[in-house]
Order: sequence, then structure tokens, then C-alpha cells
Amino acid sequence: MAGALALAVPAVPAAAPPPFETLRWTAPGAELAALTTQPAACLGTASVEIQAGEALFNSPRLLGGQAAKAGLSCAGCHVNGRDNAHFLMAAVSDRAGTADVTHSFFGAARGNGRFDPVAIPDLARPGKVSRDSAGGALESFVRALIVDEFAGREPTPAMLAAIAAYVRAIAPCPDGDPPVRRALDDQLRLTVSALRGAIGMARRGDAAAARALLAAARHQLGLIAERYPAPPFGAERRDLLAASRALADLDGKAADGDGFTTALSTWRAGFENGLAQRLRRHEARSLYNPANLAFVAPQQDNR
Amino acid sequence: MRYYRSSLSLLAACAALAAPVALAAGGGGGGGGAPPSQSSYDPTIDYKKGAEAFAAGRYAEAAKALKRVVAAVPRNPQANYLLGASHLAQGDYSRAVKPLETAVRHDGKMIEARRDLGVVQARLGKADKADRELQALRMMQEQCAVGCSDAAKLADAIARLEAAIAAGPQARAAVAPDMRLPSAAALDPIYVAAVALINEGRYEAAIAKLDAALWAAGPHPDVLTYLGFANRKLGRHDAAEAYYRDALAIAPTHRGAIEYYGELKLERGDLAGARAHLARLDAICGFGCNEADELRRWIEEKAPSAG
Repeated sequence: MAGALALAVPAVPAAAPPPFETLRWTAPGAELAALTTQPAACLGTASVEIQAGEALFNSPRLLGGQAAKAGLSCAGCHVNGRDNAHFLMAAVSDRAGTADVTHSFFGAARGNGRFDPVAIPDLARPGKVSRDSAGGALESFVRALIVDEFAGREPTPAMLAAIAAYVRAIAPCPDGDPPVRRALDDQLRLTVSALRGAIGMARRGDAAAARALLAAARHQLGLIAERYPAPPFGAERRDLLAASRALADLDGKAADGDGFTTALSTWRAGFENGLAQRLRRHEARSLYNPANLAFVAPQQDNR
Repeated sequence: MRYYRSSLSLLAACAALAAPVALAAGGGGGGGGAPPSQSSYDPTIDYKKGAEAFAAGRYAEAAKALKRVVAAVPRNPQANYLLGASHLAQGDYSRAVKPLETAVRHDGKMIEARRDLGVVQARLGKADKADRELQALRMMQEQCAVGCSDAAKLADAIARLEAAIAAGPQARAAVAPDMRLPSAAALDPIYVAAVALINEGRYEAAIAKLDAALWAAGPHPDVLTYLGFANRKLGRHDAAEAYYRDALAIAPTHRGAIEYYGELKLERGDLAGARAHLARLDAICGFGCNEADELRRWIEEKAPSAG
């Protein structure tokens, strides 16, 4: 694959749909910004629980209904736990950065029959719900969001605790929050966080949470695949798919204690020492590099 | 081409069809693991062309586009009606019969189709067939309670058809179609409202909205899939199956249609069929997907030993 890769990213035919999940809810004209930049996140040193919470926060399959089907996770609205100034969905938003969170489109339980979008809040700022870990108000709020607002399955207490721990850890950055570039490492980090979390959940006997985290890891592998189009990255895509299917094969073994955690550790070591390294070597030629995303611009606002 | 922002694309996230209204960005992310196997023909594009030409009175152009839609989705009542009405407007009554009959067969409550089919039959001198449509409209009128939303439309349709029958085949005046199509811009709000109604369990109301979405978008697999879902929830399994099959004929890897059709098979006791749908989803969703999760859960709940 060497020489031919000089043209690493082939021109995408104008009529072809963009392969990026995030563009499903991105305002016209903001595609390039959404694909290349993100709000900064300053979590500091994150515990395994916080990492697991972040992985779940980024997993559409934590939610249910329309959101899960579309690939929309909590992070779809709260990128890096912050806000999303580019979020726009017809009949759900009235302008970029807003969403009607009481619309029955996502789930009937909180539907109020009115179109009343609100600005998506930055979770690094104080909000209406207490972050105090003593009262459990945040856990209750998150549960209601998952189950009522987005018609998701009932999360386990450990999943709720992890997500709440992550949300509590989100903080503004001391340097004024300049947007940061999106990179392969975002997905690699979340993949590993999900696996660490899955191992931790399995060790405490929470197979449902472990399975949810496997799903979170697989989703991140899919996001990587978006950035490595074939050609020229056919081999990497095949290997990403194989890696995802290997995780899927472990899904039914989440209750299998040591066998499961050993298999996950083996998978992780193989991934980090093999495919992840290859992906890193090719990152400059992938669609993580803004220079290779020029084809996105002509597709702006062509409704 | 419109590929973002549309709320229709939420379900379309599961579709592997590059449709003009709701664009499924298949292939990446939590989406399809395998590259989308795109349908070689997207009938919603021709439907849009045909509907625009129809609304502008360019009936020959409309018929040309709509013929292609009907060839791909033979049971679609909206495209069949517009094709028949286009022929009718051009005075080509013989050609109008078949698509109008098809529209009536697959949507017996479509007042415009019954009216225009009756008019066509009257123009062709087939008074008995025209009268059959008149009787059907009268029956609909009887069933339409006082103040029902279709009362005025039914009265008008009956009056027009009675006049056409009275005039018979000697009538010479051109028949101008009387059909106002919702604009494409109305599609997203209609679709979002329909899905919200489904989530609220108001399936009849959702079907009415989805029918309106079909007029705006044509045979879109997302809309067809939800029509299948709503009909299934109302126990109309045959109708549901027909919608799922239509959706899959257009978009063979439509995740939502595969999932819901699998659930229908399970409800009918066809465990093997449901499992085949799950296998299909697992093959499509290389990076996992909600549709496979849901169908798997259904299978495990209905047949714990078979999941």
C-alpha cells in the first residue's frame, strides 16, 4: 500500500453522502468545524470509574429509541462534556446549539406537547442539578435522562455512578477553553477507557455494565473507521471490523469473571500494540487531518 | 443532496440508502460496520421530480418520472395516484386506469384516487365501474362522522364524480387534477410529529402523519418502516409486512426495517425468521447497533433458550 498512498484521501464524489455520524446533527456550514475541533475538556487524572463514565457518556447505546438508532450519545449534545454550538436537528432545534428535550420524538415520558428548545448547557458550569455526591441528585437526574427522556434501558447503579462521577469531573480549562483539535487519540483513549471500565464492572459482577462498555468500545472503533476510508485504508478498516467483532464475541461472556477479563486484557494488548500503532502511523493521511477534509466544504448548505 | 440535520435521518441512520430527504450516513460510527450496499435506484428522487412537475402542471414530465417510481415500488399509492392523475390530466384515460386502480387497491381510503378512477371510468364509458367508486365514496361519507376532517373533501369528490357519470364519455372538458401536495419543507416537522405520536402510542394519528410524509417524500424507507411499525402495533400484521417489504426493496440494508420485520416474525411465531433477521443485522452492524440489540433482546425474552 505504500506509494499509492500519496493520495491518501481520494476525492469524495460530490453526490456521495459523508460518512460522518456527527454530521447528522450538525448545522449547515459548521461541518468542517464539527469534524476538526471540539471544546476542551480538563478532567485531570481520571479514575477508572470516571473513564468508564466518559465511555458510557459517549456511547449511543446507553440511550434508546431515536437517539440510539441515530448514533446520538450524551456527547452528541455535550461534546467532551461541554456544549455543542453546532448541534442542529430539524423540528427539534430552533437554532444551532439548541434542542427540545421535552419532545416526544426521543421518548414520550417527558414529552410536554410544546416546541420549546433550550440552549444546550455546558456541563463544566454549575447547572440546575446539584453535583454534590452525597445526595445522589445527579444520579437520579442522569437516570431520568436515560430512561425517560431518551427511552433507554435501565442503567445499573454502577453505570449511573460512573456517569455521575464523570460529569462531576468535567471542569473548565484554566487557559480559557480554546477549542482543541479532534484526533485519533480521542477514540483510542475512549476505547481503552471503555475496556478498563468493562473489566472493572465485570470484576464487581455487573455483567450488564460490562456489556454496555463493550458496546461503547465498539462504537469508538466505528468512529475510527469513519476516518480511514477505503481506499486506501481497506486493511485498517477490515482490522477495525475484526477487532469490533472480537469484542462482540465477548459480549456473551461478560458474566464469565476471570475468563472475560483475561480475554479483554488480551484483546486490549493486541489492539494497542498492533492496530492502534498502525492507525497512529497513518493518522496524518486519514480524515482526522483537517487538510484531508476539504471535500466536506463544498457540501455545505446544499439542502 | 441533503445529508444532515434532518430529523428523518435519525431513523435513516439505520438506512443504507442515500435518500434526498433523510440521508443515512451509513458505514461509520455506530452506524453500519460494513460499507452500505446502496440501492442502485432511489425512488424518492424521481418522486420529488414527479411531484414538482405535477404541482407545476407539467404532467408529461411528471408521468415520466413517476413511471420509474412505480416500476421500483409498484404498490406505492401516492406515486400511483400521481401517475394516474397525470395521465388523466393529459386526457389519456386508458393509461390512467391501472395506476389509479393500484392506488385504490393499496389505499382504499384515498379519496382523490377513488374520485379520479371513477371519473376516468366514466370518461371511458364504463358507467358500472365509475358507479362502484361512487358507492365506495358514499360509504366513506356514511362512515365519516359529522364534522370528520374529510367530510368536505368527500362531498366534493362525490359531486364531481356524479357530474362525470352524468356527462359520460361524451364529456370533452379536460380534467384538472385537484391535489395539493405538502411541500418538501414540511416533511421534517411531519415526520418528527409522527415519530412522537408513535412514542406516545397514538398509532392511528401517527399513520395519518406518515401518510402525509409519504405524499411529501414519496416512498421513503424510513416512512415505510414506521408505517409498518404503527400498523403492527395495531395488529395489522399483513399491512405491516407489506410496508417492511417495500422499505427493504428500496433499501435492503435498512436496519430499522430489518429489526421491526424480525420482531413481526417473532410475534407470528417465526423464531427462525427472526433469528435470520438478527443475523442480517449483526452482519450489517459491524460496530454494533441498537437495532441488533433490540431484536436480540426480543428473541431472548420471547424464546429464552433460543437467543
